This record gives sequence, structure tokens and C-alpha cells, in this order.
Amino acid sequence: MTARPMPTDSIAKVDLLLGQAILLGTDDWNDTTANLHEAMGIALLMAAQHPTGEPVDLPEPNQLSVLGCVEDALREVQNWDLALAADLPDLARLRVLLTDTRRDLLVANASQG
Amino acid sequence: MWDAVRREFTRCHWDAAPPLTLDLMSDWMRTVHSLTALRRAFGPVPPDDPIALLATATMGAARVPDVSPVLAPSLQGVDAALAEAARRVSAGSHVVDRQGEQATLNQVAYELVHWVRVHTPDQRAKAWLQAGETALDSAIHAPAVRSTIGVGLAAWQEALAAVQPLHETAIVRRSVALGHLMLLREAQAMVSEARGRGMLPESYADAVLDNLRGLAGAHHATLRQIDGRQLGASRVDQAVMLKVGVAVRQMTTRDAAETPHARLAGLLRSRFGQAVLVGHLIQQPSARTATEALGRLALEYVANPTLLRSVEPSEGGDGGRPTPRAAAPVREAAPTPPLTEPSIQPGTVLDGAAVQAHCRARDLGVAAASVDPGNPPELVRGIDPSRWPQLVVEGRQAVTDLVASVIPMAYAQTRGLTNAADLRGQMFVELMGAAYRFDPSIIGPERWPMYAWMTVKHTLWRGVDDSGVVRKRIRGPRPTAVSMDQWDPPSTNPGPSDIIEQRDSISLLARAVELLPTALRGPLEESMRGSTTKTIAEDAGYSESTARRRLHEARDLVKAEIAGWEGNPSGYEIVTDPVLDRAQRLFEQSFGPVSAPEPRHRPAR
Repeated sequence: MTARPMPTDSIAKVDLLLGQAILLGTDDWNDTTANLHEAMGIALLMAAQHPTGEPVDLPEPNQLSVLGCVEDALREVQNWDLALAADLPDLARLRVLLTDTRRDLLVANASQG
Repeated sequence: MWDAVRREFTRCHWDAAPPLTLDLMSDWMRTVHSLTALRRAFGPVPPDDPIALLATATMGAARVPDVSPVLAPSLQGVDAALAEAARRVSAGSHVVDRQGEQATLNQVAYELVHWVRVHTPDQRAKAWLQAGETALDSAIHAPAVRSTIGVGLAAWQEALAAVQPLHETAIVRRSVALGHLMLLREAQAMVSEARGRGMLPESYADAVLDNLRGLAGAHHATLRQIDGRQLGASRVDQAVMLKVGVAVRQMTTRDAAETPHARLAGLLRSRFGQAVLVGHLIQQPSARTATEALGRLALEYVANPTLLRSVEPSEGGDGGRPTPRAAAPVREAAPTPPLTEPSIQPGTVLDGAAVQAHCRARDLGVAAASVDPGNPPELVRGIDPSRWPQLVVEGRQAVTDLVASVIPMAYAQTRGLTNAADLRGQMFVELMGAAYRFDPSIIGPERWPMYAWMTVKHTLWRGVDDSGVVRKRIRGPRPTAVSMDQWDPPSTNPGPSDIIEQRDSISLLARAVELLPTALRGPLEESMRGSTTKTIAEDAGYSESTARRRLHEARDLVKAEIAGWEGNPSGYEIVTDPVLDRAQRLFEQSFGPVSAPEPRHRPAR
């Protein structure tokens, strides 16, 4: 069995995007924020376990919204090989959290008009 | 035991011209080392133990940069007295009430750290020492059961101590700020819930919530100053980040069995994840007011734990409905017996004394789990039966820690192998067995890593098949059955040659038994006289499983000895694994068995 390559750059990007999402989030600590914080905790650990040597290429993160950050992070995570779950035990949890957060944010945006 | 400590500490207060030290922090680190050794001698030390937290806090204080050495009365005498006490307890001096001794140790440590804090002028070092003092204060005045959040917060404090020398690095500041934000959010949810249920006074809860928000705002300001894209990490940064990441993950993992009261109490005791220390680390001026206020509010709780009322879920009513919470990863209530998490970092090197203490805790736990309350074995006699369940838990913890100390071997040996996960699983099972079997009185406590190493190598040699099942390895084809067609059936009556052979065999057997070490010969002779394993164990004063294992080892050695004399090693059926047998023999030949102490009494039967 050959070892699967670890997407270290992508992990770093997810870490950065979720950090940005938390930064952009308001002080309104609700369920969505709770999920986002937990996802950030997972990404932080993944990034520490699988560091990248290169600076992360993320175009103008300041122009992203919270939803934009979460969607970009979800896209990254969904590109990862599912078989990486053996090496990233929180992979499934991260996918679930990001999916839930995105849905909650979409609902919140829709209700705001 | 405590007289010498008390005398030496009194000298620090009253001696007109006490011996001085030029560096109080160095003295204090040595003292904490002795305190930790003494605590370890009482039994396994979980990461959220107040002495463990004191050690972490001291490490943090010692790592504060640019602190001038402090001239103060030396703690050398206290340190020596504590080290002597630790040595005596480790050497097996009779400790009647370990719980009581631990409580005394907490009191002594509390008084000492307070004294050191008062003598320390630097505010940052003071804050660290205050963290250790608060942990001991809580343990003394409001002892609480071990909680998942407590373990996570202990890891968080350790991570903060680790980042201390690198706290000006942007990547570390970012991680600390993000990690603490998660903790603040958790605290906010818990306090809101407690306020809604009437568990906390409204004014107190409101003050806490205000300051939590204030500190979160300060963290946001810190994060805005850091451009994440430009972050590079050295190897040292990465190691530190890993500590922070693990701690954050531990804190966000929820335990279904943990009550909101226990969780919130844990957060308050940690002074909301050592907010003051975080404030010093991230160096955000706007954080100062909030961190100090949170620290004060948490101390208010420590001084008066009745501030947080325990409310059953049914008492809440409509008004007390908990704030809806996000689906955090919930760990189901553990089955019985509960899985024990190691209280040490995997790969921690245990010295001989620590292994000895772990084995003793293990044996006590095994004895406590299997005893008949009416007729307890000597090992647990004199211990209050109400403490036996605790002994069982401590025994399991000790075994888990023994395994944790050597588990990296399993990872190192299986890296890159096919079926690595299955092999690791099997190695874990074998190591658990080894941790239960290991007898420091025969092999020597400092040889536990080598014993574990042989177990790992043996498991590796056997391997697992594609289904993860352990392979059965047999040294050669089994002897084929001999056809008796051409032979007359032998007579059942022994002939003269049979009688001579039998006498020779008995003589050989007796010689082989004589050659056994005392610790193995005794049980085997008793067994040959017809005593049961239980009786042997009771007579010798150890557990039944130990007796069973010694009998097993004795029989194997006798078998091997006789086979050697007859020049026919394969003349006997090898029941146990030949590689393990050989490894065990080589091991004992290389290091020589340590003669076990004679049993305290052995009545003739």
C-alpha cells in the first residue's frame, strides 16, 4: 500500500480561511459560531500536525465574507481524498461542521433578505 | 514524614540569618521537582492534578523572558526534606492513607508557592505562580471530581507554558488568540446557560459575560494585526503549535457524562483558561482590563464555590431551559469498566521508582477488584473497603500509563508496514497484557521498557493476516501419527525399564526445581503439594494473577531445563510461543533475576 500524499498546502489554507471567518464573525456567539470555532480547532490541530513549508496563496482574504471563507474552506476539504480519514481522524467531523456552518449562514443570509 | 519539611520551612520565616539564594526561581524549580516526586510516589499523577498544574505553572514562570534573579531565603532545606520524604515513600515505607498524605502535600505546596509568589517581583512570573496557587487552592477548599474539561484545561496551561519563550512569534500569537477565543465562546455559552438556570447570581454572570466579550474583542484586534499568509513556522514553532492544537481539540471535545456544573466549575477554576497569562502572551493592551477582571471574578468563585449552584435539569423549568448548543463531538458515556486515558504524554520515560509505584498501584487495583470483602488478601488489608473502588481506578490508570510510556515503540516499529493499523492494535493489546504481567521484583523496575520492547518485537514477528488476525506461527510440521498396524498394543502395566525411567524423571524434575529462583520455586513447590493458586497467593501476600503467572513461568523454566539435559529440546510439546520463551530466557540470562523478598509468612500445610 502506498502512502497517500498529505495536502499540507490545502490544510494551511483551510486553517487560514477559518481563522479569517472567526475574525470576521461578530461577537454574537450563537450555534453557528460554536460550529465554526470547533472547525477552527480541528484545522488548527491539522495544520500543526501537517505543516507546510510554503506561504499560503490566498488572494485578498480581507475581501471575503464569513460565508465566503467557509465555502472556500469546504471546497478545499471536499477535494481531499476520503481515504485520508485514516491519517486525519477528525476529517469527517470537519466536513460535517463546515457543511452545517455553511447551511446555517445561508439560512441566516436569506432571512435577512 | 512532614516534621522535617515543617521545620525547614519555618526556618525560612523565622531564621535571623537564613541561607540565601541568588535565584529564587531556580530554587523553587528544584523544590517543585521534589514535590512532584513525592506526589508520584503516592500514585499515578493525572494531568489535572494540582501538583501537575503547579509544575506546569512553575515551568511557565521560569520561562518568562528577562526576569531578574531574585535574592531570597533559600528553599534548599525544604527541598532536601521533601526529596527525603519522596525517597522514603518510594522505598516502600508504609503509607497508610495515601489520600490523606496527598491532601497534606497539597497544603504544603500551596503554602510554599504562595511564599514564592510573594517574594517574586515580576508581574508575569507572579501570574504564573498564581495559576499554580489557584489550582492548589481549589483542590484544598473545593475538591472536585476529575472532569474532561479539567484535563483539556491542564493541557491548555501546559501549552501556554510551552509557548512562553516564543510568544512574540506571529504564528504562535495567532494560535493562542484563536484557541482562547474558542475557550471564551465555550465559557460564554456555559455562563449564559447557568444564568438562565439560576445557577449563578445574575450580577456575577453579567459581569463575567461583559468581560468575556471584552476579551474576545481584544483577541479579534490581535488577529487583525497578523497577516496569516505571511506566517512561516520553524520546527520549534511547529512543536509548540502542536501542543496548542491538541489542547484546543481536547477542550472542544465534550463528554456526555460531564454535567454543565462540572464543566463551568472547571472553567472557573482555570480562571477561564488562564486569561491573565494569555493577556501577557498576546500583549494586546486592550485585553488587560478584561483579563484582570476575569481573573478576579474566577478567584471570587474559588473563594466562595457556593456562587455556582448545582441545578438538576428538571429544576430549570421553562425559564431555565438551557441555551441551545451546537452539536459538539459528544463522547458517549464510557462502558464499564471505563476506558482510561493516560495521564502522561506518550513516550514519557518512567524511572525505576515510577515503574515500581505504577506496578504497586496496579497490584493494589487488581487485588481490590477481585477480593472477597469478608476475606481480603493481605495487599489490601488495612485499607478502608470504601477506598477499594478508587484503588481499582488507580490500578487501571497505572497500567494505562505504563503502556503509554512505551507506546511510541509500536508506532516506530510499524511505520510504513502493510496492516500497520492492525499490527498496532495487536501490539497495544499485547502491551496491556505485558503491563499486567510485568513483575519488577523479578526483572527489575527499570527494565520495563526492555520488557515492552521484547513484547513489541514478538508481536511484530508473529504479524497479522489481511483480516487483522494474529498469525499462528509454528516452528515446523507437527509429528505425524505413527501407524500401529504392525505392533502389538503396549501393556498398561509398567515394566522394569518404565520404573527406572520414571525414577530418573523425578530426579531430573527435582534438580530442575532446585535451580529455580526463590520467587518461582516457592509457588511451584506449594502447587506440587496440592495447594490452589488462591492459597498460594494468600500465603505469599500477592495477587492470584501474580501467583498464576509465577507458576506458569516456573513450569516453563523447568520444562526448558529438562529438555536441555536430555539433549532433545523438541522432545516436549511447546505450549507457549517459542520466540517469546527464548526472548524471556535470554532476557533473564542477560540481566539475572532479582531475588524477590521472601514472603512475610508461609504456614506449613
